Amino acid sequence: MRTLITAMIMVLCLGTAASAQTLPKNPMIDIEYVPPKNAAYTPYYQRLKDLQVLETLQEFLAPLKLPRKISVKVEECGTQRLVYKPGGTANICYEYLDSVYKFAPQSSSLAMGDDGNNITKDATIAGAFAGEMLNEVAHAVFDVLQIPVWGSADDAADNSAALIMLQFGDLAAWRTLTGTSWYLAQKSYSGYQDFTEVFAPTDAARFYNYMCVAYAGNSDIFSFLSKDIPDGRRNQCASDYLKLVRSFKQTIWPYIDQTLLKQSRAVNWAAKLTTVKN
Amino acid sequence: MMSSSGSAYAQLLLRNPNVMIDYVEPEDPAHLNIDVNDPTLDAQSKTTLQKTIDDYTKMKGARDRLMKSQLLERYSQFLAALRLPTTLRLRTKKCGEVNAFFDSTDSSVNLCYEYVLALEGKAPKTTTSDGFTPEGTLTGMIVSTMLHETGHALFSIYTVPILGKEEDAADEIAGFMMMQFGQDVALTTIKGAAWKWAADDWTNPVYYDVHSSSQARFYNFLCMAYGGNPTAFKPYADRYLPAARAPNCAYEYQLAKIAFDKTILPHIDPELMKKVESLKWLTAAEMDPKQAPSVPSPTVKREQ
Repeated sequence: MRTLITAMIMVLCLGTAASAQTLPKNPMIDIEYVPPKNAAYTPYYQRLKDLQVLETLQEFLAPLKLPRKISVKVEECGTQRLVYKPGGTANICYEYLDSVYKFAPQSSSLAMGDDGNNITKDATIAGAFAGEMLNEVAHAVFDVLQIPVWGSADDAADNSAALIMLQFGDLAAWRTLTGTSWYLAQKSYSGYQDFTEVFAPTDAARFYNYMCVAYAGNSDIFSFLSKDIPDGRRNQCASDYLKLVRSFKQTIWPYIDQTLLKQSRAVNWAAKLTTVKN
Repeated sequence: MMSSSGSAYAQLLLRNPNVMIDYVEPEDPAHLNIDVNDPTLDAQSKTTLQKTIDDYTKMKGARDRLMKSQLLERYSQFLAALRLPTTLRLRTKKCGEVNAFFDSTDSSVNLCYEYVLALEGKAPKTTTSDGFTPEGTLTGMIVSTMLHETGHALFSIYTVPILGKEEDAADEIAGFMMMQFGQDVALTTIKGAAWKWAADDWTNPVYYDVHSSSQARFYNFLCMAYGGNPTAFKPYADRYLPAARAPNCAYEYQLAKIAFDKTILPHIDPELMKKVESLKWLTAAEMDPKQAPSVPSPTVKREQ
């Protein structure tokens, strides 16, 4: 495990070298790296802390106007994901990150899609972890802002995360959405290094939800997904996506500072999603 | 709804002028003016005609039973408090498929006779040890279907934001509404919805579909009920809800309440709502599936 981590670690490489642009940290986001009891997770804890992943998240969330604080923690949970409890705390589990590593592509780079795009081991890990952070924060945001959430809250969090992933350039969208989708696909059907043939219930449904948003939201880079999404679903992706955009504008958009969002769009977030190789 | 004392409802104490109802007649093959005993008719034509007649008989039977129960009249009373900017049509009809759906092109909630027949086939033949009666379960299945499609209608008419999947959202609003009219209504409708999804084949679910799996929908309805009324639904939660899900049901119900209060409640007339709430619009008498002809239960196509 440690070898794997030190060989090619990961996630949201922080800022200074990757990108000169910075945003103020959102003062309404509290963060905490909770030391794990299980020594196997200590490298994750240390690396996330070293990379200041949560501080980057604070920057990324700078445009979000919140009436009260949200707490974001990375911690050992005893399970891969915790069910969100009202109160404004987003928990991201070392166990989830561990699972992301396990299902990462075995080769360092795989061709994916029709345009010569690649999916890399490190970007997949970073993208999937970023997706999980956005999902968990979305739950807390729904709670703190008392957002009307119709449809499963976890699907709503996924949809919001996917929509956000599409807003910061093709490369950031590619890394986060392929990373998340890859992870969910592999977890759904262990053994297949492919996007097809996914079976595990919850993750399989989440996988298709992400793919549908990606396919409808950026056909330039995700058109290749047309063969992976069955007709019955694919035909509805566009209208579902447009409803999602409208719903996001009705609910979350009023709480986004447009000046800071403009600044945020100028940041090279994709560069912050690179893997640090030791 | 749908008790044998339906005549009281003929008075239509409450009515929404923007809700129209229609039990659409299935096409009567008598209009074809062909005698099945016509000796000049070839065997294939005779078979086709007999199938058409049998089909019509089933559809007409379903329509007659729905009309007798005054399903649409009584369901429309439930919608009396909605401030509707457009006409909402409640329709039963032959669809050519086992389905129920909302059609945004004419703002209509459509309950297909084929679907009603399928639900009649799904209803328990005798009362189960869990207290699922044939009549109550059928009523619950039909009303839960109507509420689900009405949910789609409200989402469309009021341009409600939906961040999750719309099909799950329609189940949620249906489940939430089931909990707002007293314990009897809640028990009948939730049990009906749960039975409907439990009776499906849970093997080989389709995960890519816009609908969640039947298994997930079963748990979602039970969770909404348990979250909204933990006392009444504790026996069902204890027996059927996984331990990992049950503790979160109160929060799931609360999320639905927030969503309902913010997106639907502004469109409800509070004074009329009090009157709707005072109606005993669903009793335990209900439809009797035993009145339906014994037909094989067709494979149920998923609702739209």
